[in-house]
Amino acid sequence: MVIKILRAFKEGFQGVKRHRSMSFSSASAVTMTLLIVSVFIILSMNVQQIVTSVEGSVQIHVKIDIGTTTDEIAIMQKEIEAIEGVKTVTFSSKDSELEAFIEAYGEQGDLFKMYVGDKNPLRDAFLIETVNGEYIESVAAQISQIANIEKVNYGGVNTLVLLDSMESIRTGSYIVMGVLALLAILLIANTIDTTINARWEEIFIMRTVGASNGFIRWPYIIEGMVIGILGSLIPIIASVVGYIYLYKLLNGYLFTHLFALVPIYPFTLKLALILLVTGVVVGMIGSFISVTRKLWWRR
Amino acid sequence: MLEFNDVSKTYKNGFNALYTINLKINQGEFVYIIGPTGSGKSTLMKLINGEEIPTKGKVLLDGVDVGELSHKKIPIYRQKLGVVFQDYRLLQAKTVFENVYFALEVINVEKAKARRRVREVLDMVGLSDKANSYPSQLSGGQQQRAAIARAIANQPKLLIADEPTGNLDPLMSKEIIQLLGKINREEQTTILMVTHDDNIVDFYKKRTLILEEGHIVADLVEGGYHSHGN
Repeated sequence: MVIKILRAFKEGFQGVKRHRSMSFSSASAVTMTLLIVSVFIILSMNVQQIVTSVEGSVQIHVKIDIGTTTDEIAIMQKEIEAIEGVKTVTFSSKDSELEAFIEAYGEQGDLFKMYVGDKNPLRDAFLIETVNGEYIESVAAQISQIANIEKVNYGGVNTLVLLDSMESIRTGSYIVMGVLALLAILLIANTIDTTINARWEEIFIMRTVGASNGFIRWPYIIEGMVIGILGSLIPIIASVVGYIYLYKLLNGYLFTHLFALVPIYPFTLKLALILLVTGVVVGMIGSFISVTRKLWWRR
Repeated sequence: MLEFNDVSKTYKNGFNALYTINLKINQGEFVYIIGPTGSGKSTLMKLINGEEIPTKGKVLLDGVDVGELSHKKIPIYRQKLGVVFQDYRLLQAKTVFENVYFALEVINVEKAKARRRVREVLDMVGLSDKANSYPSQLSGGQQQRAAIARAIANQPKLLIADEPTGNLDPLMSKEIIQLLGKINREEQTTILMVTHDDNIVDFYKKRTLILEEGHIVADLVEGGYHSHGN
C-alpha cells in the first residue's frame, strides 16, 4: 500500500517534469484563474466587512419609564433577550447615559456636568444589538409592547433602507463569488484535460501492458495536484503581498473609520489557504475526470 | 491453450471482419497469421487481447472467456499476455529500462527482482547498452526490440505480435523474427504473429494460417507461404 502511494507520487512528479511545456501551460491557466478569484475574494470580503460594520453600528435604544424598579428592569431585560433576533442587550443606567452624552459633546459637554447626580433628567436605557439588520424593525416593534417602556428608537425608515441595500450587496457578492468559483473550476479542468488529451496513447498503452485503472489513474491525479500547487504559488504571493501593501497604504480603512478593511491577519493567511486548496482540489478533480474519460476510450 | 469457437465479428458500422472462425493453438506453438489488408488479421488479435468483443462465439485463453471480461478485469487478464505492435507503443516519457520495468510494476513484482528481470530481458534482446535511452533516441528496430522485451518481461504464456516487422527493413525484420524464435524456444512462449511479409514466413518456417475476407482459407503446418499458398 505504502509502496503504491509512493510510486504514485514519484510517477506524478515525474510526469510534471517530463511533460514540462504541457505542465507549464496548465499551471499558467491555474495561475491566471486564481489571480482573478483572489481579487474577487479580497473585494467581496471587504465589502462584507463594511456591510457588517455598518449593520453593527445600528442599535435600538430603549428608554425606560422613570420609577421602574431594579427588579422590574431585570425582568424586562430577560423579556427582551428572549425576542427572536436579539444578539445582545446592554443595560445603561441614567448615570452612564449622561456620561456618554457628555462625552459625545466633547469640550462643550462640560456644560452638562451640572446635571450629574439627582438632577439627571435622562432615563435608564437598554442598548440592543440584533443578529443582523433584518431583525431591527420587528425587534423594535416587540419591545414597544413591553410594559414600562417610554420610547424605542432605531433611526426609522432611513436605517431600514440602508440595511436593505447592504443586504443586497452581500447577496450579490456571494453570487459573484459562486459563479467565479465555478468558472475557475471549468477553466482549470479544461486546461488539464487538454494537457492529458495529448496522452490518450500513453494511457491506452498502460492498459495494454496490464496496468489496472487505479494504477494508471493515481499518478495523473498527483500530477494534477502538483500543477495546482505550482499554479497557485504566484497568486498566493501576489495576493498576500498586494493586500498588505494596500492595507498599509490606506491605513486600514476606506474614506471613513466606519468602512474599515479586513485586518491583514488572519485574512491573508486564510486567503492563501483558500487559493492553495482551490488549486490542488481543482487540479485533482480535473485530472480525475480527464483520465477516467480516456480509460474508457477503449477496452 | 487458445481457442476460437465459432467466432464472428461484425463492427458497429456493419463491416463483417470475421466469419465463424474455429481455431486451436497449443502451448509452445509458433503460428503466423497472414492475409491481405482487411482480411481480419488485426481483428483476430484484438479479440485475443480483449480490445474487441466477439459478436458471436467465444475466444478462450486457458479457459477464460475473453469477451466476458469487464473493463476493469481486462488489464489483469492482459498481465498474462505479451503484446507487440507494428508501431511499438512504447511510453515516450519513459526510458527503455522504465518501459520494461513498468510491465513488472503493474504485477507487483518486488523491486530488486524486477530490476534483475529487466536487465535479463534487455540482455536477451540485445539492448543492454540502451537501457537509459528514451524511445525517440532509438532506431525502429531497437524500439521494436524494447517493445518485445517489455512483452516478455512478465513471462507470458502467449505473445501476440501484430505486424511487428511492418515498419522495419528486411535485415532488421530478420533480426526480430530470430529474436521471437529464440523466445519461443528458450522461454517456451506460445507466439502468434500477424504479418503480410512473405519473406519472413519463407525464411523462418512455422505453422501458418491464411485469412481472406474474414475466413481461414488454409492452415499450413510448418509451411512457407509461396510453397503452399495461392
